[in-house]
Amino acid sequence: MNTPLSRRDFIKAAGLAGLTVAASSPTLRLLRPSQPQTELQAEQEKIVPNICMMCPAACQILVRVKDGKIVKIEGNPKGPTNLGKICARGQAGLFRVYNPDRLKKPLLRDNPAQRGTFQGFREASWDQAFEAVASQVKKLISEGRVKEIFMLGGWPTCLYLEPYMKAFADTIGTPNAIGIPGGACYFPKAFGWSTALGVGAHSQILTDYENVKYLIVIRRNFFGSLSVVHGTRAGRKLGNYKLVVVDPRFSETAAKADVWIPIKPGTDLAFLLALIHVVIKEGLYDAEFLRKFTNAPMLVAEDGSPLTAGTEGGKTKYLVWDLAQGKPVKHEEAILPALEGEYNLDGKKVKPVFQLLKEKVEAYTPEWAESITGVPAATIRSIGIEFGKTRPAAVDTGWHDPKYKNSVMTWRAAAILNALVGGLVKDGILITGAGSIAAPPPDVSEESVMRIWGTKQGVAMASKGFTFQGFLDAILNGDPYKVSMLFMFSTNIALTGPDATKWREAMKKLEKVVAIDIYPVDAVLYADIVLPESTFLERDDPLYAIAYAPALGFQTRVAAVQPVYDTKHFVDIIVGILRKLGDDYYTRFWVNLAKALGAADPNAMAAKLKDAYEKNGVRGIRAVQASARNLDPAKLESEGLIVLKDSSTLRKEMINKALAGQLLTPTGRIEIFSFALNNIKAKKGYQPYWDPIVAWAEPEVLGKADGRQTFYLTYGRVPTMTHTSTADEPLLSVLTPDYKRMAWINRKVAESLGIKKGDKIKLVSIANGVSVEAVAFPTDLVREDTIWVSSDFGHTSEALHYTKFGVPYHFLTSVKADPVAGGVMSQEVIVKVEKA
Amino acid sequence: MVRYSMVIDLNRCIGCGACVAACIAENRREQAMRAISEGLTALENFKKRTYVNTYIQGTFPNVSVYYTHMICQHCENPPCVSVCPTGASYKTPDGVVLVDSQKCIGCEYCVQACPYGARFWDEYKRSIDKCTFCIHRVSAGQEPACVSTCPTNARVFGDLDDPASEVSKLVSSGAAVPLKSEEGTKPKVFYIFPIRKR
Repeated sequence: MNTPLSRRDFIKAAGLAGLTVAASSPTLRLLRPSQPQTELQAEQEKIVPNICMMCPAACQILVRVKDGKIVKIEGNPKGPTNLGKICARGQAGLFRVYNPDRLKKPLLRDNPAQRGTFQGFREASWDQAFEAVASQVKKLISEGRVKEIFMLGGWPTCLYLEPYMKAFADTIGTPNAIGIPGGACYFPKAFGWSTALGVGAHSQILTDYENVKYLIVIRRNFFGSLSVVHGTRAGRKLGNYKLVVVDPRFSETAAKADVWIPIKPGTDLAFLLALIHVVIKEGLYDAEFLRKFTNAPMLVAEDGSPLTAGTEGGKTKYLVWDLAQGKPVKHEEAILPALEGEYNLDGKKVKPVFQLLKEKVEAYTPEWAESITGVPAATIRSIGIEFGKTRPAAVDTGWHDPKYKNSVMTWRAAAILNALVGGLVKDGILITGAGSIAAPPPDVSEESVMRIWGTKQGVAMASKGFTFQGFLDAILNGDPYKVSMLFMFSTNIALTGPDATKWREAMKKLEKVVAIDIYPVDAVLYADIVLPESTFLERDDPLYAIAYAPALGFQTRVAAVQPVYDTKHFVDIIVGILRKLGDDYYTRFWVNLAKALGAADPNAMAAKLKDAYEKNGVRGIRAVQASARNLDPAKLESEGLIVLKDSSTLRKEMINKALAGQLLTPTGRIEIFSFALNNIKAKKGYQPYWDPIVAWAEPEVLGKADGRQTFYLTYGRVPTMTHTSTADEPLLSVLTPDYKRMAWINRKVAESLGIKKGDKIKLVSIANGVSVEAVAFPTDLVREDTIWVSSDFGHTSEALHYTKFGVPYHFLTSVKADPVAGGVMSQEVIVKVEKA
Repeated sequence: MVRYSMVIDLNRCIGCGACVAACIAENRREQAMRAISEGLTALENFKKRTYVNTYIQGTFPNVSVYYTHMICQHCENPPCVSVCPTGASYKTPDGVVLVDSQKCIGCEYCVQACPYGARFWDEYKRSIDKCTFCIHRVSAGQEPACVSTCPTNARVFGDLDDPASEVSKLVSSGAAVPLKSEEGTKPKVFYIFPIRKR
């Protein structure tokens, strides 16, 4: 087999001169005067704009290039996302380009028995590699089996090139492509927010860290994940706001908090419900905000159905009780809409939504919440009062959360709590530029495995197709039908797929596996065809909306250096495959791409895209996109970004939209009564998981761990790692302290089990019986009933040389889907701890 | 005159390590590339001009985590300069302590003399190495790499002789204090110590 690049090659690639023999002691060094420094012919440094891809936070960066080498990366001072700052991972970006572990040439192998190892590969030309992919695709097409092709994209696809992958799948003719791992990432959280706000993904909403005075953070570690957009804003204002961190482990964010609440895992919802109870009970809510911005005054009949009044401009209209006129009118016609009371309408008893909310949370007292969360009632009451009395106050947006069966309802409760204190849209939680132009996620094909599986599991939002979990059944049992050829686009499903053992077995059963990636990560070892992608610093990219920032604008990547190895751009790879399939496919791709990019006239746009691409590659695509939006391509290439609306303009615009009932919710207002959840209720009957207002809904693990033999398993971020994607970054690997790679177990519990720091322990999943080895870190920083691990999840790939140990978390999870959003329920796991 | 100085606000520090990575990328990139080529062990032993330590205190649930930063203190009375037999260690008129790698013979007297553990032998450069306050950036009108990248503005750089500078204000107000003042070294790096306690 061809080994990865040897050290000699690497030194050449990285531009280093001959080896220096190290003199080991000061005495010896005295005999060796230092060598004179060779003055390099000083070439002027070039500054090239790019978007960091060391994590999904999409920070704008400037890359300093000298003599054809990247010498340093700086934050782009003009970038509204990160305000000129970047984190350790961003700083380490240049070492990715020169990492000797990279995939450097297309690799092929014939023997599927070698899957799971890095054995048996031979280097191939791109032409041979494209031919190898295309011949299998052609075979499946000619045999009428094209639906057996399925594609999975990781976060790089989600964030940047999903439309390209989608167009690729559409062109080939398979409905089975998911470039947004929503079920494993953000969708339950986003859907929870969106039931109130219309939007809710991390790119769409942003805590107003600059102005907030009281901030409650749940299921989130923004100083540990250091999505710089949040970390930099929250960090420079530390001390300006009271910070309450609710987390079973003492996170990097908790380290800077005024109050740490080590809550029982999965019970944040009960905590939030009790805060809602306190804020209402103490009369601390913002009635004016509720009347103007929300549907809290909407009348609801005794049977739970809202009093609607037709639709106007695509928005559902509804009745409120106008106290000034003493009669029901449409919300926008009311002078003083009632929030409380009971009214008679044609002999029917009706109540405003707020009245129903008040009645609903009556039972959710701090004492009730204490029994579920383990947080003292007095603490909950005092936080509720402080939160209610401080303006602006907010519960943080969160980012990732597919963790529990109740994730959707948890974030809905967060949204409602924010609404009660006026902490949405105008203060507290803002809608970002990306959120301001968002559309609801489209439905996927009814024939897709994701959708069929999700529907069968009873997932209410199955039509959105985020339930990639379904492919396991398709591979292993042919249910709903067999799939046989997998394309992986930067996804490490061998480590991140729930019940990872099954994914590994399943990948061995496929006819053909194609991996597109930059590193030979664990999942890539299951491929037959490996197509090496260029890193973000080696490529020109299409146009993207600026993500996460409180500003609207567009940005791009400009190649800082030419590819160091024989790698290609994602787009060039799929185009290369399509060309092998024939002109017909190649031509149709551009139409599908134009559609995926949302072109009004796909055929006209397709011709432009194709022509521009053939002349200038991906840069050409960017130029077409820029001109369609009247953006100056030269400015884009020199500065990397163009801001169209600044934060104050955007905020005003979103406030006006909310007041005019033009948000993305069905009623256009913030929905204290959710029409989306009410529709689910209408279809599936009542369950607290989709209560249209809010309700306590249990996580599966509730009460299942005793803190002696059984434990709640949890995971979280550390600032130097981006889940599984940075484990082989040489510098980051050693900048991550070992204790953050260990399994955290409460010190007292560890003592009682005879476990010491550094001991090998086994974590055994109660649900699937699988056990993994971990290194113990007994600590006071975690609850007695909880085990915590970092989400880089360890790597076992023999082709990676800079990885260190970790805990392969997803061997312990099971295939699940939450009943609303289809999330993987990644923390619904109970483990036993044994000495290894 | 200019007297360059740095204030590190440990209340603002979130322990992310951006300063450490930025310093390596800016000042020790070639050395890091070399360590990468040598493998994980070489990387584990890779020396840093600035580093962040984490301290965990207390018992559950009354715990706290603190970060401390070490970096050359650019002392007004630098013991590393007085012990250097060859004049390799010197102080610039702007008060920045530097090492002339041409003159350094690697005797490590300075490493012993430094009360802050800020110096080390760089076997790639074959000289003692340490923080330079990124004087090459500062002369070009930029901030030191660690300061410019810090996501929370925990590191502040400026001129101690300019009473309007942020560093001057923080130092003269007594908010920022030197480390080991009993050594008589008169450091120009000052710290704001954690006040947040639960």
